[in-house]
Amino acid sequence: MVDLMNTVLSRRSTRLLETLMGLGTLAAGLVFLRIVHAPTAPYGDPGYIGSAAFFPGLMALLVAALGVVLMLMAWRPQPPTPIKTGRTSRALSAYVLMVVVAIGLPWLGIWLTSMLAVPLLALLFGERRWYILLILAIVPPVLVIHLFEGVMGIYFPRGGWL
Amino acid sequence: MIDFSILQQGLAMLASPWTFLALSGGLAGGILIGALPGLTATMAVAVLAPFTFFMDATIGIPFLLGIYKGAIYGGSIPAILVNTPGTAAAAASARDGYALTLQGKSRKALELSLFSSVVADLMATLVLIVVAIPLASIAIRFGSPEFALLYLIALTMIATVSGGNAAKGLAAAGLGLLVACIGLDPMSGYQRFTFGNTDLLAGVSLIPLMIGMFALSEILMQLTHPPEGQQTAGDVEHGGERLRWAEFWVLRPTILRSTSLGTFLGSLPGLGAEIACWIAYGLARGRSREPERFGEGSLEGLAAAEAGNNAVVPSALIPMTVFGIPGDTITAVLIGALMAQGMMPGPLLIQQNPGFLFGLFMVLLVTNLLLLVFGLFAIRWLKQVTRIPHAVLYPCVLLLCVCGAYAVNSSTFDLLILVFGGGAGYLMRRTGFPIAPLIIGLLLGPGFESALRQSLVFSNGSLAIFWSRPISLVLLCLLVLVIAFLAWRGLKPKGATLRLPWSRRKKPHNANGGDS
Repeated sequence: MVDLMNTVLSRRSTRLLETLMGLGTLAAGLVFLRIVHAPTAPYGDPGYIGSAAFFPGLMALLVAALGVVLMLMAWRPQPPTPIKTGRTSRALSAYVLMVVVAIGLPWLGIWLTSMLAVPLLALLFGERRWYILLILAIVPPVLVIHLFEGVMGIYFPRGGWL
Repeated sequence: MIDFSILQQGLAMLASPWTFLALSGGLAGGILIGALPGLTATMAVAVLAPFTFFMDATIGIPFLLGIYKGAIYGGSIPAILVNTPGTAAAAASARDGYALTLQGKSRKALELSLFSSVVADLMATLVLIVVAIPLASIAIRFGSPEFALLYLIALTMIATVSGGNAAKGLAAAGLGLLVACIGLDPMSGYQRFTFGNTDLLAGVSLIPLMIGMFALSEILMQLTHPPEGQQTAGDVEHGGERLRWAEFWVLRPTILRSTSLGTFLGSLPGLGAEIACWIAYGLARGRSREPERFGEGSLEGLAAAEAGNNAVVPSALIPMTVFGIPGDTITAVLIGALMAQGMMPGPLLIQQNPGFLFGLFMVLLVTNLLLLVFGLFAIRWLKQVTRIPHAVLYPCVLLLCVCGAYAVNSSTFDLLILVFGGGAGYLMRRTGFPIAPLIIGLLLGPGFESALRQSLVFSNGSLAIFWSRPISLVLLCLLVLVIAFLAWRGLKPKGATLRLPWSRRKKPHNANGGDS
């Protein structure tokens, strides 16, 4: 069985990932540059110090340049710092869960969302005992939601299904 | 001349039972959170910051300071008992602390850790009080060029010191500055990069983004690299003899040296407790008559590490209170909390709310006494918290993150910022990008932009304004020195441990730029 915890990405994959991060940085810089330097000049002349476009234009240029540097650095002769693989699929599943919570909360409501999300995350952490999952589905949501609503006066969405 | 009304305001804040209660609660909670392996001090302060928005600043800020101090100390408990630092700042304490536990001297180790922490914290707090006011009187004379240079020095230091790779740190800081441009232009009031979204008018919500980047990314990192065969406090023998006064007294040069070092490092932007502990440890080893005992249960090593990391806490508040520049990620969150309370850290805070600031200094002194009392309880009872499994802990953290992020503005858009921050933070940590420069760039962005543009407008675009004034010339020389030193030091990529969860890094890397 492959020991996921101590496996590192191959040098080629690491270089590829580092290049992608550099590319992402370059893309972020270019997107901001494109907006600032659009023909309609939405925030004024980027070359004029007093305009709202001056600072973002300068920073976007800096970020784009650093993106290029990062891409070049990924292909230096020295081997890149290895990246441990780990259990990335579990983390991705958890991230999907987090996105669903963030998007679904206004429709599903705080109770249903939290009562599903908490035990599901516990499952991803390897908890398999049903009574623990049941306790997790009830106790933390009740405590935390009552703390926010009862003590702090913050009311969460109840959802359209209620 | 002493203004007695300021002293009166400060003492009134301290005398308030609510402030005392919040401080005690924060300290106890901080020790508990710090003692839980996997929950960092930054994460604790970020997740609990939204609670303070509904409190008066005189209650909310002491609460957060209590959490900060408590968590930094609490991290040493599991480090000593089960060789698992509760926070990255306690990583050096694990070496000799755990060795002492294996020798059946856990009680001595825990007591030494507590007393060293309290002494170091107290001395560093006194330095903060002595240094902050005179420095602030200088800072008040600063104009836009000086602030622009100061922000540039801070960003350069944070970006280059906080990660293994300077280019990644600079790119992260640049991205933070770019994200800070979203919202209203600080000078003209133009809407920038909002794309018609009213939720972005005030910029990207700082607290949800920080909760995402620090807390959600930590959950994802823990899932990616779960701890292997983690011990619990039930697996080892505890107790043994108590620390004798004579044993503690001979350590005073070590504690004094480590405290001085920690205070100095803490006052520099970008260097957090997790670096100070290792440098103090290394220095103590270099100066020790018994260096061979380091790592084998040396009391000197443990005292040095603990004094070094705890001295950072008050001194990190020096750049925050004087210049409005965060010393590390925790003070970045504290600045966010102060801004949410309508206060602007920096010279203006001292000018406009001197009584509040004096009260905070008094609170910091009282926290030391409370830390001693709470610490003695924690030594006795807190070993049980290491039994809490991650499968129970992290789902609860997720729930607190979601509720806390929503509570900031009662906005579902903030939940999107939260998960965006979580994803970005995870990706950055996996690929060795430091998070601290991004957050601090985001925090300093509006101030830096205003200072830079105002300076250039005053000088009609001439850069000479940055060297034609005496203070700005000094700061410019300092910036050149910082860059020259960093270039000389030769920033090399560090090991793969950078990409592990913070709680399991045991090497002197500063992957996270002051995240403890």
